Amino acid sequence: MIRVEHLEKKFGNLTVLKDINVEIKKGEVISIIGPSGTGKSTFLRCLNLLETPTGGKIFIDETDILDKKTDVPKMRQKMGMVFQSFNLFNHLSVLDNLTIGPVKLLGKEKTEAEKRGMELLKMVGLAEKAESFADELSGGQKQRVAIARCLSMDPEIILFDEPTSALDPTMVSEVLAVIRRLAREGMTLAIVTHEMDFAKDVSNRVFYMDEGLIYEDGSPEQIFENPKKEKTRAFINRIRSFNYHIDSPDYDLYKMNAEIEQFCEKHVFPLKMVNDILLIIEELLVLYQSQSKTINVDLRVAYSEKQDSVEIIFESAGEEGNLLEKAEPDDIGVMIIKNKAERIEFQYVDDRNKLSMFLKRK
Amino acid sequence: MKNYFISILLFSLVIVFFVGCSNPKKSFNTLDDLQNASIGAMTGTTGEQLVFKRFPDAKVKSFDDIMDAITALKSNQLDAVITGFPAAMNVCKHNSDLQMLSEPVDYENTCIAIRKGNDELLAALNAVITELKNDGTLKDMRRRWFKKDSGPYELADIKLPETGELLKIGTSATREPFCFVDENKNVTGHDGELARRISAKLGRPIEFSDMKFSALIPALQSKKIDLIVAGMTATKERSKSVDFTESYFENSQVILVKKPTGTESAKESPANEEQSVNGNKMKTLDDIADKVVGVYEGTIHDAFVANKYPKAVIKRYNSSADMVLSLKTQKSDVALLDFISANVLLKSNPDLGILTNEVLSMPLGIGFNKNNPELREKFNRFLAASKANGVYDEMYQRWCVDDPEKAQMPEPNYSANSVELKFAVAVADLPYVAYLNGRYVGFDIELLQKFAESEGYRMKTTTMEFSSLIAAMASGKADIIADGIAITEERQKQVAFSDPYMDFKTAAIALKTNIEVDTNTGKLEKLDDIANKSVGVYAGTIHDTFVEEHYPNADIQRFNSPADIILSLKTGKTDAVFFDLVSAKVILKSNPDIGILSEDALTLPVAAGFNKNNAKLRHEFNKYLKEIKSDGTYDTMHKRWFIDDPEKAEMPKIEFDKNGPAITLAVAVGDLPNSAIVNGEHVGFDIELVKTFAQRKGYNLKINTMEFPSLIAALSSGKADIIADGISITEERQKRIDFSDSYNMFKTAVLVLNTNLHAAGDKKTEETEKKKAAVIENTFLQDVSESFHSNIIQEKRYLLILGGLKITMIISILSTLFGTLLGGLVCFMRMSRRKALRIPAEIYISILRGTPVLVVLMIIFYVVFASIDIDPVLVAVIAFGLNFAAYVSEMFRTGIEGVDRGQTEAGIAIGFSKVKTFIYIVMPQAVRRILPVYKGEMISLVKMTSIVGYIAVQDLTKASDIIRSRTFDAFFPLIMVAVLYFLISWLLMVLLGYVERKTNPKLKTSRA
Repeated sequence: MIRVEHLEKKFGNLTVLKDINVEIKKGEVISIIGPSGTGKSTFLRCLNLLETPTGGKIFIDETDILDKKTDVPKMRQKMGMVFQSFNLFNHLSVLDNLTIGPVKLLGKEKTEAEKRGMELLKMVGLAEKAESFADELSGGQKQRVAIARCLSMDPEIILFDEPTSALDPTMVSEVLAVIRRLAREGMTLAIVTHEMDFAKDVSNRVFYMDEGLIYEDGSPEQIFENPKKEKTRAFINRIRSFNYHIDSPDYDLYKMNAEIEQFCEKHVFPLKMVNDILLIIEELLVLYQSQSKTINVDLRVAYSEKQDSVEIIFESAGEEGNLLEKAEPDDIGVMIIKNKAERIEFQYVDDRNKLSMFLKRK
Repeated sequence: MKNYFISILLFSLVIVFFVGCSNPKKSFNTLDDLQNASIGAMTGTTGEQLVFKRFPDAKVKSFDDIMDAITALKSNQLDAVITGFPAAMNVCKHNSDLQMLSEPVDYENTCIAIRKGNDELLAALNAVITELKNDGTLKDMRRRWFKKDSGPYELADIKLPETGELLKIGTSATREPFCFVDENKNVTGHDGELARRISAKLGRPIEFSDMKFSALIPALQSKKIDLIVAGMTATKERSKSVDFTESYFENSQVILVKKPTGTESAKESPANEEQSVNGNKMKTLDDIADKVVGVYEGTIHDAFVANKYPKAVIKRYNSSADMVLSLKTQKSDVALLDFISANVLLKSNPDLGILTNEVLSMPLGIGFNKNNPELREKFNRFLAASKANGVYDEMYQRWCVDDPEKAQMPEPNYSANSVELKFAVAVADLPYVAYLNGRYVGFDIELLQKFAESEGYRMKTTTMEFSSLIAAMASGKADIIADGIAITEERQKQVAFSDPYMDFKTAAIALKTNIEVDTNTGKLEKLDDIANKSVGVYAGTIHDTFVEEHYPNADIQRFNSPADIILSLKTGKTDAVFFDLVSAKVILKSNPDIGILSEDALTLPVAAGFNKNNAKLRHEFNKYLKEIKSDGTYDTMHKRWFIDDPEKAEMPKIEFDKNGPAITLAVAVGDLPNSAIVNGEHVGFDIELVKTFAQRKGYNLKINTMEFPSLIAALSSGKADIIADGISITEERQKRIDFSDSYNMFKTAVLVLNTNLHAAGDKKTEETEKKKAAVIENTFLQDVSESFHSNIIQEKRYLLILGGLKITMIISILSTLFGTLLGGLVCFMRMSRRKALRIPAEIYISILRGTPVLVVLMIIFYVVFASIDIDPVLVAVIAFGLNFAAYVSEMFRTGIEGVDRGQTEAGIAIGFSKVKTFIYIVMPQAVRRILPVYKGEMISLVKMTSIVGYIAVQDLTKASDIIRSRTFDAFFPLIMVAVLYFLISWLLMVLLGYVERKTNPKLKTSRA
């Protein structure tokens, strides 16, 4: 139904959308996730030309909407949009919000439009608010009216631009409930959201956007459980990591420790955890230095918010060999390490020894 | 630490203060102060020599150029500079921080230098110089070049010979005003002109060589130049090398110093107090008894002061310029001269003021030989005739009332066989006799010229000193003498005078700092008592300029209607007011508290005005005037309006030929008996006069009313064909319009409150008290009902009000509509992204908001639609609409920009086009926001319409003006109009409030 080819959007010198190619079919419920500033909203707003792309083509039902001859307002009538800031018409009552479109644009009779309007209001649970004005409603109520307003135009697809970002948690659920219902009834939806659980639950396709592209595109299970790409994974798991490279025996231990400490502080690790991490790393390095003449080490501390776990990865160049096994069995360092860490794994890949372990949890 | 710094700071401040105080710059007031000073002089000049001689201990610095010396003086590198008087005067003109010491160092003669041994040339030059002296050219040149004000110089037109032996003139053209270069790099200045005159008189072409002053004599000796004309002084030293002609200018070397500033000035100046002969200030004429009095040599002032104030020191001068200089340099304390010249001088010398106008009053006469009574009789007849036919008045106006400097002297028009009359004058001064641009001008000159023209004579004029005039007459060298000569017994022994042709008033002038101003307002006894009072006049009329000219010290208040003038008098805002005599008499009847100070302040001819391009109409009118004067119609009209009570006059019904050509008469509805509106009809002498003219000549006359000052503009812009309303003929007005022949004489009275009238005495106050007592009888309510009756009911004045109300409402509503629509358009342009639309809109908004509406209104009426016959109401709608639009557009913009962007996005997202989104989503919200401000602006607009009277629209405010001009009642009409305006505004508020409620959806569904 919607086909996007090589969509590009630049704001001055800043390229927000590099090269988007995607197809949205009827009945799909697509969640668009990703870090802030990666163009999710921009992409959505390009679809109904609230933003004008600087390159590429967009086809809606095979009509090129970027063609000058296209009646764009008419195209828009087929696509509804729900905004983060609701944008209800302040000078009209709730019911009039729902009837103005159909009456003025679709040529419906006022009574007919009002009847349909009341139906929609009932559906979103706000029938009693028909004569109220926007400034008399709560956020959640406003958003539900906004959704009803979209529906009043009988659209083929509804675009949601962070519909719940401005709501407090109690109201989020009522809006999500309505969206769920729409999805169940087979409406085509494209939702930009930060509600990961909701996205996993309601959508049948997920776009992860990053670097100005649709970085990864797949089913919810794929994206959320088994993200293929690094960044996707990092996003999903909300992984934050610290990397340090050592290639000389004269490396500055104190500097490295300071940086590790800083990283830990940023994520508010308890003091004990910080000390444990530093200790493990120190021991690993001692072991390594005793076993190898040269130093070529990549150190990584990865913190997964989602799983609340800290993983330490020690990668070194050299002959194949697990540091821990190569050491003396009663080596104190090894004992400390084994005491503090768990799930210790060793891999030799790409000519590099990779030793990974997780910090023990209390 | 902090304390340490603070104390250091304070300490250094103290030191600076003391250093500054304990080392005052020495100030220089007299020549003796300069003994040890550092003095700048020009190399090789007499000034330099003088300094060495006179101030042997002074440090002398020599400069090549006076400007270098001046710069050094200004930057305190010198204490003083010595230079010639004209140059010094020029420097003081351009440098207000420098001044001349009053005592000159030395006097010297300025002459032309030529090579030794050329007696022929020397004799020729001397002859030229003598000639120029005798015929007053040199004096005139002095006046023109050595003038105090910094306006442009008056150049003389001299024909230079093209052929002949070349005369090379050496000059140093950096000595303004003697010789300097103009913007075209030509040598000009007093000496530049002198050289040209010499060239013309000797018949030899000249060539200027400009060089350093010290190079001139060597250049002369080496034959590079033939003459030196460069303000050079003849000294013994120089005479060894060159020959000098006779002196053509008496120069002096003066000292220039910096004016003292700050604390010093408190001690030093007013230097007047120390340096005047007697330090007391003067208050009345008798105070001159012990002062130094300057007079014009040989005049009656001389004898007058000698007789009346024997203790006074009399200094005699030959020109008013000299007298002024003596006043300014403290050589004399007071100067006596004729009143008219005094006023001219006062204008260009703001530091001089009048001590009193009432020194002497003498009649002036033209002097004739005792043995030629026939000539004298002819002249007397001529004088009487010109007084009767207005020629005299017109001349008087030009020379003695308006600025004589600007007066146009007509060319003489002598018949072919005219007999020559020898006419001798002293070239004293304007307005009597002066020498300007190569010929004689002035009142006396013109009078005699006209006389000569009418009697077939031709005047041959020569000049001499005033004191020689009578001798010349007696010895037969002159047939007629004139120059403001007063008729005295003494003189009558030797000369037969004509009838007096003018009254000669003498004024005493002095430096303002020497005159004690009488702050006590005091009572008024005679006309001249208004000199320092607050005087009310009708703006733009002859009274305005008269008071300005004659009483420059008076505080002039200008008003736009006779009613306002009277009101100002009654409320004490003015002490005296000028008013047309006939109307004044009418006013006096109903205002017992007003009295006449003077019945005849001035008299002027009144005429109707015509466009300069419409000579035909004017000639027709003049013919008509002659007709009615001869067939008695004029007398009937005059009697009806001026002799009998104009209030009771019945305006005859005059019908016009509807098919005749249309002409418009514009009047200011001043007052009876000239023009007024009674019972909704235009009445009055002027009205009847013009109406009768129109009827007789078959025109279809339309009458328009407007403000008096707009009348002339109306003629010039073609909005009116004739204007009349007691308009007096003045030179100023004649430049813009042509007048018909005079049809009336306009006497002006000066009115004051009786309580201020000195001569009133007990009798009048008794009467006034009685009248006042009678008036008090009325209760307030009776007053109000009387007011009501006279202002509204009488003469159906309520019709005027209703008519005005209608006009006000029409203009208000139409301009609101027009302005709102236009404002929408401008707003659209202003908010467009395209520069081509946005910039013009921005310019429009800033111009219309930055120009007063009245100015816009008048520009559109008088300039844009100048010759187009357009209904002024339409013009008002356009002007107010344009102004309103500028504000409305910004209001709209505020409203629109105040609507949240998300609303537009939602509208677009639903599928509305940009336009539809604006109309259905944005505009309703924007309008709601700006409605309160819009309401305010609209009501403002309604009140602004009160200015349309300026373009002859009779709106509500004008209606009240008209009523006031009839009843002279201030309170009632004004209050009434204010109430009406308030009602209109209130109605609008209610209306817009209704609109507000209707457009508020919440209120609509009753849920405020």
